[in-house]
Amino acid sequence: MFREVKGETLKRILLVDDDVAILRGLKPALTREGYDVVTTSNPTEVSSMISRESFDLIILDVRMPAKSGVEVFDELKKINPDMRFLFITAFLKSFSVESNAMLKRWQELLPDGNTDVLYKPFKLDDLYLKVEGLIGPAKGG
Amino acid sequence: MHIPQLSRVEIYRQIRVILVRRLIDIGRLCIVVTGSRIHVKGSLQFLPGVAAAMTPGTVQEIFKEIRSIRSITAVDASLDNWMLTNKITQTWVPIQAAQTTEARESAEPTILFGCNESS
Repeated sequence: MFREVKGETLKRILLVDDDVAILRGLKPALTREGYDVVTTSNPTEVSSMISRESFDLIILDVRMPAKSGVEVFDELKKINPDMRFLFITAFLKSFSVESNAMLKRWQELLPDGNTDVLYKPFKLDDLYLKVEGLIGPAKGG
Repeated sequence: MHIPQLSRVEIYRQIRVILVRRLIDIGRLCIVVTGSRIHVKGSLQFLPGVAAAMTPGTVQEIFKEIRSIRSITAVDASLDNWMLTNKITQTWVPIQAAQTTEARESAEPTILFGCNESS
């Protein structure tokens, strides 16, 4: 289940986005960096994937029709409070439509420092920095 | 007494904790930790809805707090909207928005992901 290169277990990332084009673009980019990447366009299956497999980082689109990234985040935090997350979103307001509610939500979601945010559109270099800042380089770190 | 060095991932985490507590929009910042040095790039701004205005004093306090993280010896920044004009007194001045946009557009002609996204 875990991919190894020269005896080292690679860090595993679960990438969740309803846009298959994003998954197709980001999976090879992160794999090239040395991460073991699993993707899904269905946020409703993330909980069951987490119960079967172990991941170092979950990259979540915020706005998805079947289930929002924030809902997925809430579910997974109950399973593993130390789980690391990177939210990818076009709008800060995706966290909530009301800015005051958004502020409150922001403070609820992010205070432990285990979660980061990246706005679309983004450069791959910025994605790599965010990922490395959350889980370190693909091997070791 | 030997104080163990923090791992890079832990340093990154502590920086995020500081920024989130101070209601900074971390989505607009990228942090690079190299050895005991931290480099911050992007735009330093409050989240929408924060009533307080970002002042030079606020920026100074944020960087002072980041510098106080154990294992860190230096913090530097190349921000789109703030410039350090005096390293000794840690004096920050805002950069005009127009200059910022122009500089960013000319400096970053790279492939972008999620350009056509509505989510």
